[in-house]
Amino acid sequence: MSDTRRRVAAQVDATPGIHFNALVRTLDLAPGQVQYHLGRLRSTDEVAEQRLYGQTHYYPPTYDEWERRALALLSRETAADVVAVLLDEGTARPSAVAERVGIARSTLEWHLGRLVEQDLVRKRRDARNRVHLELTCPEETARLLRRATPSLPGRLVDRFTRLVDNLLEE
Amino acid sequence: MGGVHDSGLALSLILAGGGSLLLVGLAAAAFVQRRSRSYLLVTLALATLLLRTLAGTLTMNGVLDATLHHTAEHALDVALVGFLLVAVYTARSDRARATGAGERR
Repeated sequence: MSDTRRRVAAQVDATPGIHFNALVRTLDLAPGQVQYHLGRLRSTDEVAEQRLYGQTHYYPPTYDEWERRALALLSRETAADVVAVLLDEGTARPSAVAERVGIARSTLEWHLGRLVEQDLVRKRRDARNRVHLELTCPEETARLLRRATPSLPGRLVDRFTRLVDNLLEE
Repeated sequence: MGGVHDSGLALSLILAGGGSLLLVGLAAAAFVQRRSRSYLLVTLALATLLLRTLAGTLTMNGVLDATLHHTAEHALDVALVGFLLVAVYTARSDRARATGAGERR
């Protein structure tokens, strides 16, 4: 295996779920070069690819489909904060989660939409039809949360939406 | 003296341009995710800051004359204020849509 290809594979191993652009930036290589090596690594099953919400993420091949999707979502700072609260509380009402994370209800709902869609979080209704949130697989999620690495652009967009939602909150 | 003034102006334009470009980029990325009217309005408001720098650069290079530049800057202020006011006014209904209010939680 070429030296460059080994570097690409090592970086994917170190930061599972990394985006293509982040790979190019961290390794300081030309996009074409990274694309070529990723193609070769994928054809030999040394790297797995996952497209989610318009972005392509790369993983070591040991991650299964659910783990890949979960890791991609957990690399979003706000989603990770929400999941951390649920790990701590077990089950919680949405209003309590929003308050503990310190985000507007609209910010929470947007992230919950994806977390529920990808089967990380479940909405359960009680006898009075009130929604309670809980993690579908707490242990697995806790393990993945430790491996998730938020990217700088992702962090900035998350903080921007947090600020705007808070400002526009009634 | 004129040289100092010019380089100070150039530096301000570069800093304002770079900063507002970053902000507009963030706002656009947030709008692409949320697709809500509030985010569109915030993006447009921030875009007027970028246009201010553009107008300043054009004037500095003699493309835009000083009077027109002055009018343009104030017209952009009007646009910025307008976008923010509409964003604030419509925040309640947009928020209701974002959180699915009406549905019992």
